[in-house]
Amino acid sequence: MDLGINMKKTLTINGNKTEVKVLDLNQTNGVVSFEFEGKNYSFSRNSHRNNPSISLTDSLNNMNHNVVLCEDRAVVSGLDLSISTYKYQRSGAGGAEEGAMVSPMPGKILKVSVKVGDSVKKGDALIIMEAMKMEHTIKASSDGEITAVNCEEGSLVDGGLALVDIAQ
Amino acid sequence: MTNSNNKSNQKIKRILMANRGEIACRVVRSCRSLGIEAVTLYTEKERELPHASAGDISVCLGEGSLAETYLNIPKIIDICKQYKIDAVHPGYGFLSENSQFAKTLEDNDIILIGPSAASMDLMGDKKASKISMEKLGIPVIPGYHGDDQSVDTLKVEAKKIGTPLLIKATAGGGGKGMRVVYDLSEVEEALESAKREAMNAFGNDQVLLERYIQNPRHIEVQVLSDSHGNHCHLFERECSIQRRHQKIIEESPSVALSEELRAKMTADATKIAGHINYLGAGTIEYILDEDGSYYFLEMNTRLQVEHPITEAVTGIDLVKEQIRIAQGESISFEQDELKQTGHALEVRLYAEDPDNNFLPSIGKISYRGFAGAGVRLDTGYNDKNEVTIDYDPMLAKVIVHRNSREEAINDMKSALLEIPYLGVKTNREYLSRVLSHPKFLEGVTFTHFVKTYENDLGPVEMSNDQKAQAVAAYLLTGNFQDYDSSTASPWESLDGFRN
Repeated sequence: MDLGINMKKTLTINGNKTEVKVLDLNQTNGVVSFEFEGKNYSFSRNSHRNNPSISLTDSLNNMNHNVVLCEDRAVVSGLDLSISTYKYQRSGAGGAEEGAMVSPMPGKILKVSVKVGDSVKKGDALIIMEAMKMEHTIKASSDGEITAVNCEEGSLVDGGLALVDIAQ
Repeated sequence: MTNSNNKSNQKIKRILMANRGEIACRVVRSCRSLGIEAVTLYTEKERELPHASAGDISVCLGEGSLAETYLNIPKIIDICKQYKIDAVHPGYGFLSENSQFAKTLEDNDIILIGPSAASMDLMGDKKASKISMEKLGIPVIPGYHGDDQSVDTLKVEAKKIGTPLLIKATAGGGGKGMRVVYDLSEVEEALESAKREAMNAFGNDQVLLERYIQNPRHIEVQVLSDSHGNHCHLFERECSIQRRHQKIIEESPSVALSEELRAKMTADATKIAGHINYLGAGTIEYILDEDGSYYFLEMNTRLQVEHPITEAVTGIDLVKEQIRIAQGESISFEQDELKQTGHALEVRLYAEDPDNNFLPSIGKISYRGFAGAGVRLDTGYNDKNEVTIDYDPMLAKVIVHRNSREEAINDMKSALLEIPYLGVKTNREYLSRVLSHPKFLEGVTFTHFVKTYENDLGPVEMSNDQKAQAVAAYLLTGNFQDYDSSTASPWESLDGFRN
């Protein structure tokens, strides 16, 4: 079955919005061609569709690659990567969705370095917190604008709380 | 001091594992192999973790803090009585070096698979154990920790210790009040400035003096002692690759030891075990200087996390030996039969973010993967298990044993690709970076390795070609569960393609 010719798919890769132009996709037969970052790619899948450990053959040079993909996490050549369909409509604070900088564990907020409206770059230090007797820096997972700061200096927070929201 | 245990020579039929996670699962395996029943413990929140159901019987400790569960001695004793437990294996951490626990078990006529309370107490006191080892003729790091802080006394002590000399504020931290002196003529000036700095930083100018070891390696020797006076060593492990003073990569043999040095260090280890009339498995930790001098650091009176590499190179199951020794049998081998074969490597896979100060991470493991041929995976987590902040963030130990160090390193890197533990941030990538570092490959490993080569060990940028592979996998597997249906898009039609 032939599916989706010349369709744009918007993905979020490692927190960054990325356009992929799908040239051909047939999931049943396991073949896909697409344009990504100005280059054409063509792959066929060798493994069963439901297996998170995915064997691919690059049809252009006949090289085999192994990719592990489960939910929105992948490993390629031993390197970690997050990949998901880009969400146009963002929900507010409280979730652990892309764009929310979440406290990794309960702790005390030592420093808040940003305020609503600030532009940040991926990797910028947003919050310094103390947890398990150590200082931890919460860094921006992507470029964007701060839309909410949900904690203040000196406050105690639970693990899993969205401390800062970033809109891309 | 004798090791006569009133339950000696009594066959152990049922063992309680007073621990959790990978070590509980690992001990259960050896129990099964010996035809012994195993009872494991778990807490309410851990019901789905493998160790909770690893034993023949599993007992729930209920809910609460560590003190109310795994460290709750009265509760564990009650369970022992209720389930007619002959012996308790404490694993590592938790109650494994708690002499009060050892005494309580003895009072209740239950065997501890471990040493006597007296050995634990002696080696638990780091200062007293060093003094005792020094008397035995075991080298310890020369130093002065006295209260007499007069410049004259400190200068005399400094001369005794020799250079390079470390001056360190006793209240110190972060390098403040710390000086390294390479020439004794500089001692007085360095003392004054260290004291001044310490006074300003900590309000206390007391300092200690120690021989400064520039490039220390962490070398430890595994020992086994039985109740018949046999004390054996099972060679060394090198555990120099550490982060935050915790080991992350261990290997055996160490490339730093000549046959002569190995013979000296292992002989000292069995001498220590014999001197303190030790019983069971223990580890003598040393610091090795570049010039081949080594110093006793401490003795761990329990099974070590990294024991599997010793098992790999010697072919000896340390837990089985522990159990046999606990029921009064002799060590199953003679010292001179034992050989180190090949090269074994262990890495500790942690749920943590190495690129953000090794911050522990939590989450649900979506896909663990399977370790391939000849790879030992000691883990306490399966797919869909939650990693929480309640316990140590170690996910697994991966152990590879090959003919050469190079093969072991290459196969370890392959193994790490097969068990990605997706779903939580891990140090998997970071471990591969260390394993690929030219200095590691050369065997130039020191305890400050990860700090020294910090700049080489940062994240590796993924190429577009690599990202394209992930895009292909993503498109081909139709993994679109995060698809936002409120956005009109032809991709909705993909839903029909599931199954």
